[in-house]
Amino acid sequence: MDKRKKGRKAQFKIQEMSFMLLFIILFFVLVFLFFIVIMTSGLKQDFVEGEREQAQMLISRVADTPELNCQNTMSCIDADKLIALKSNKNYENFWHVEGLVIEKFYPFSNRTVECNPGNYPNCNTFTIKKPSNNTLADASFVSLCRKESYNGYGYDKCEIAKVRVYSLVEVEE
Amino acid sequence: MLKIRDKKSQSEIIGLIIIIVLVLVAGVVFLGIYLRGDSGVLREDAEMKNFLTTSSKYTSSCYRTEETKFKTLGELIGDCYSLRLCSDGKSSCQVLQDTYGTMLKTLKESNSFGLVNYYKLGFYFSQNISDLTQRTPISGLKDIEEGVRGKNCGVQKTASNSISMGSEGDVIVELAICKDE
Repeated sequence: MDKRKKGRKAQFKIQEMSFMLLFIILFFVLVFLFFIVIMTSGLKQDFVEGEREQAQMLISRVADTPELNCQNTMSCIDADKLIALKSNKNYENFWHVEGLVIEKFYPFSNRTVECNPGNYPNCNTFTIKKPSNNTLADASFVSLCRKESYNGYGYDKCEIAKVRVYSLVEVEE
Repeated sequence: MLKIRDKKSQSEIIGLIIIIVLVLVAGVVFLGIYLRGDSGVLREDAEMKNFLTTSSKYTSSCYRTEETKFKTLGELIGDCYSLRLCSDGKSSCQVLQDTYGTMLKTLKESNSFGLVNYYKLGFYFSQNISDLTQRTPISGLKDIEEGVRGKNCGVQKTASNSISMGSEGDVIVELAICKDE
């Protein structure tokens, strides 16, 4: 009788212990899930930010090539070089992009005037490579500088432009 | 017999309390680490930072005869801090403020950063760039702001650009925007 009672008590104790362990495990699983949810919510934002930074880097790479860059200044495009490059069709595929357009952003003008040797610098858009269909643009700000003179002294006049680099849209099947 | 049973239950209660305390400590440590990681500081927006850097190289209308050059906005910040005038008698601070004012209006109207409800551009001086809590607003340069900053800002983004003033310290130009989600 006493042995049986002791056995039941032991069973009860084991049951109690297993329930306790189960609840502790469940609790830690919930905490872990909570932690994962918090971490992944930041991950999505990190991904978007990362993609944008990558696009900015591609534009910087294009802007910083010696063919466009003004006197080793980062994110600066020489407008005088641009107008010379624009008339040379060999440079259309030089940057391996699907389209390359540089638009003056500030001072702002509502009217789009494509630049050519005849109207330069009274224009606001340089289309180096016309974007084809199914392309997506990434844009970034750069300085657009040209040589000017005032009172017989030469100086660099820098404005703000937007570089649009077009790449093919990847179609999901 | 009763005494032994009491002692046993007491030790079980102590065990449970220890587990609860451990879990609580772990929770507090985790929350501490998580909150310290962000600490309410907004992440810098790469595109906005790029705009600020580019705008500092913009050639302003402020000409200085003794230097025979038009000053960039970045240089004008230094001139404004030293209260220098342009050759036409205009204050460097005024030219700086007017140029950034129209520039930011253009930026808002072009929707370059999405639908911006509110923006604010501030100029601060800091002797130690690594400790931005010590920064002070530059006298003579007001914040440039437009729009209404409601209780719900939507998406808030900031970026800053520092311009060195040599041994004196740095000027920090900070742009903050609120835009629709």
